[in-house]
Amino acid sequence: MPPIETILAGFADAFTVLNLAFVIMGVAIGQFVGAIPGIGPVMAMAIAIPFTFSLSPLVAISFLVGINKGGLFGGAIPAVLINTPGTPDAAATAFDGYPLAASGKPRKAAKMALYASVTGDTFSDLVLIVASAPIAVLALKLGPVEICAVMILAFAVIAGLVGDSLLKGLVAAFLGLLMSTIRLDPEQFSPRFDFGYFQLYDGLDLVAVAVGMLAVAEIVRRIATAGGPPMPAATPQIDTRAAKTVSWAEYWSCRGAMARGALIGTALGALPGIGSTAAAFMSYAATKRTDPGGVPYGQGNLKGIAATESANSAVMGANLIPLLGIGIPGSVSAALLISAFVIHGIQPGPLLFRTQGELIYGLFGAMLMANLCNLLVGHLSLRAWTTAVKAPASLIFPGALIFCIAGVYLSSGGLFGVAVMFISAAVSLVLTGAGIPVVVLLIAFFLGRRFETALSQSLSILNGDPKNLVQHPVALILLALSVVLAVWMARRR
Amino acid sequence: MDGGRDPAAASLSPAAGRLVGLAVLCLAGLLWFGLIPAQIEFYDQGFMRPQTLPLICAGGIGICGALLVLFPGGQMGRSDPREVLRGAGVLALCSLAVWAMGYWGFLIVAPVLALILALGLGERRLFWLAIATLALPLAIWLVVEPLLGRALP
Repeated sequence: MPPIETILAGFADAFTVLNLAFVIMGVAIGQFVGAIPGIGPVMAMAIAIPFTFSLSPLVAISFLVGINKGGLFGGAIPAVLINTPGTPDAAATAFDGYPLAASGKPRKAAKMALYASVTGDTFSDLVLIVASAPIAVLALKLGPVEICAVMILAFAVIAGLVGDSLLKGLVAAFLGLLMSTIRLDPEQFSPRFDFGYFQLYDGLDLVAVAVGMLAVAEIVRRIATAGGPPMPAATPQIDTRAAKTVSWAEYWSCRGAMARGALIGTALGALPGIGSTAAAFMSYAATKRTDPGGVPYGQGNLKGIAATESANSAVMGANLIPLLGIGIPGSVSAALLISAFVIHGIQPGPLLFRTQGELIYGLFGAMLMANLCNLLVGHLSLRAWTTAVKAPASLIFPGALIFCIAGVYLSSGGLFGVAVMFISAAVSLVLTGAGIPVVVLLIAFFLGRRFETALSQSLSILNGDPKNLVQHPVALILLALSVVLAVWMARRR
Repeated sequence: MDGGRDPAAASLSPAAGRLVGLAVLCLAGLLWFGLIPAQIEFYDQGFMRPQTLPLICAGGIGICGALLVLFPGGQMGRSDPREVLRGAGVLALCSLAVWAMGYWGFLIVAPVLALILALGLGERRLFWLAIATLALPLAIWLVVEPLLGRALP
């Protein structure tokens, strides 16, 4: 645990005018892109990373966190207004959000989504602030053998939970690890898979691969499938104060739904691999079962909106618990934050609390600030985002693609990186077509270098003999747990 | 983007599932017998050699592929052949644009790429075409070159 002066200095760093300006900008961009179906906060984060090069690490990461948090609420806007979720995790928000909007209360529905999102997110951030440092202290007691076992456990859990087939998840994990070996071998310094390109000696550019697999693949898919049914028209608005606002009594009546959602979202978010979509649906189902309200669910019940939005937003903060505690990203957005850390020369993991305590507590301060900004920007800009919902695809997707090209050119320093981005997009499209989860591949790719180092150190410590694992009971338990969980998840499928 | 199921996914028939498994198995074979020996210099000293992790991965992929052939399951993306062709066309166009940027630069190629994509998306309104083609690439150029002080191709 860092000394109190470091913690206070970190929070002081967060509350500067420059940081505040970038957090507000990030939140506004996040809400804007979240409101456009097809461009989610993850894609926006991937595109924005290269543009943060010239910023200080704290400002850059705060900006990205702002985008992510803004996008969590932004996705609810089209779900409420046109019954088309901007992000997958807002799908359950449409169940009650759209009927409420259709009854002439779109702003009430969107504001309830905003308040619930900020409530769930703040709760999750507080849990992160309290829990991550003790977990990091525990993680620092682990040796290379145990770290290697933790990573294998994480791969097994992520492969089993993401997507719908454990085997395909494992294929994705192995492919990700294999992609991370495209570089000079760390011990013999001999090139691997360089195909005659010296640019590959240092490995595939993290940002180029992430932007290609997440953003460009999605843009290409959207362009290829364009010409579907036209968007439904936005709903009319009843012009009374009660229809436009959420009163304190209405907010308070949803406290149980929000608390349940925040708890479910935080618990699921802390486990690597379980996304916000699952949390939102689980929270909605739990609230529907245990908390019958006046208005039936599915017909515009505020509790339905509160339950889903608090849960999907609570996942974000909790996702950073495994990232900051043990250095393992629990989601793609957390993996993207890893690449932001890495391009600023910072290695994520438990040592961060010792070596970069001020930065970490600065990040925590920025996260809390971003929640407040989310509330204010959401309140002030709701009308503007309803216009964004109607932006034509012919503007959004070519624009996003050119942003990707410019961003990756900047991050990789040449057109080679842009080519890697398009190859990654093609690979992502093929894998998605075969039902192989790209998210697992990316997380394994991000962790690949650390895994190879840990495996190498473990083999040296064990003298190349697996029998020596008996001297490492924690690693043995973790490995056994990996096998048990993998078998259990495979049988459940 | 997360653990949720893809809404555009369709349940896999056993035959299609086996086909995916077979493709994965072939990939593993290609890696084990072709790419890894050709692209990695094999060492036989030390516990962790350059080929160790790639071989572990290829072996893992092969085992999973074989198991997928035996126990097919899961879902796969729903794909219309016309959409697949259209996607491949977009990627080919982008690759061509990257190559062209090396010769003529971002400011010439990006607007042309944006125009082709916007037209391909069915946009015929001059206002939106002008925004997509001229305003967006110019805005990106203004942010990157004068504001950030970085060079674009």
